[in-house]
Amino acid sequence: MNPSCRKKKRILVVEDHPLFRAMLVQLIDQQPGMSVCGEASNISDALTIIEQQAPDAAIIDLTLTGSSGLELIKDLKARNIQLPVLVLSMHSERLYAERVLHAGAKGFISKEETPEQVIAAIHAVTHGEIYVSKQISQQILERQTRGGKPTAATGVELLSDREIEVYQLMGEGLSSCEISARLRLAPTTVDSYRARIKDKLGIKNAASLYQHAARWVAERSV
Amino acid sequence: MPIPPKKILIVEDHLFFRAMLVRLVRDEPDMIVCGQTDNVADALNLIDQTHPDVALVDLTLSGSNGLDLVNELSLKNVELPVLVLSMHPKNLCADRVIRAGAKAYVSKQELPEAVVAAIRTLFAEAVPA
Repeated sequence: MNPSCRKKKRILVVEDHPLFRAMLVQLIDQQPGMSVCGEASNISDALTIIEQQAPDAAIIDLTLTGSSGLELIKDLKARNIQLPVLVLSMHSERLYAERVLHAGAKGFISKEETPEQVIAAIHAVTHGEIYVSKQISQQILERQTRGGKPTAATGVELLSDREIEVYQLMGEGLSSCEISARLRLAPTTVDSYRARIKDKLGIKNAASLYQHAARWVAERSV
Repeated sequence: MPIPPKKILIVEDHLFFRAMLVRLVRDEPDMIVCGQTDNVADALNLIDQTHPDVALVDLTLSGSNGLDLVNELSLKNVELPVLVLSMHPKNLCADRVIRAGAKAYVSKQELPEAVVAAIRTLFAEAVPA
């Protein structure tokens, strides 16, 4: 093997849209210092590849078939797997960047950035750095200088990671039963998440909650 | 005489995805990107100015959707074959898109080769300049 090939950073791509994944793989493989060592569309396949291939970094979408990238990041942390993860997502950077960093990711980049920025972000995390946009880095620093007090969160920002997942699935039209199956939670747990979401968002009834969730999902769809 | 490359207009509101579609088209020897934008109003201006052979249009655009562009073209009697691209599987969306006047539909569930092949099938529909 050419010694320069051995130095290439090996990247795992976890993304559930085949077209987007194929384009991302092509982009990474075109870079001199990196190559794709595996592709997955769900958590289970991703974990198998991580075990077999020991990649240098993973680039993970937040929306995955049957689950979320956030869960994968938490799984890695729970298994004590030290894999630098960059989250690439269409979801709001303001809402998710800090959540994914808290969960254990090393970076967050929006699908609103250019391919060059995405490559720069992959370079950063493979070299042990943390990558977030200037705006998010500013947001974090501002809070630190205020002594760690959070900014006045509003709306969906008030929800926990799990509550956002439930809210997202409601917006996609899933019933409580379907949500409990999807997230492997007891139906009563899903009901209590729904009640908490309703309280936090100041929504009066279940029908109205579904409407809000559907609108929120529609506004954020690709 | 060599055949000039076909001009493709790309209308997609997510910057990263648009940039990747531009790369995909540029890699094909018989195609060039004559314009790219994220919205219907700019797309109409680009169509006026650059006379594309095919438009590749995402179904979901910020503040509007790809079918609005198809309708506008029909109202203005502009004969431009439109290929609509969306995240929804073909069986859920293709009929509606074709009924609205688009010439073809490709789902983001497909691979890049399918997008390129679908663009190429529309060359026969392109109006000679």
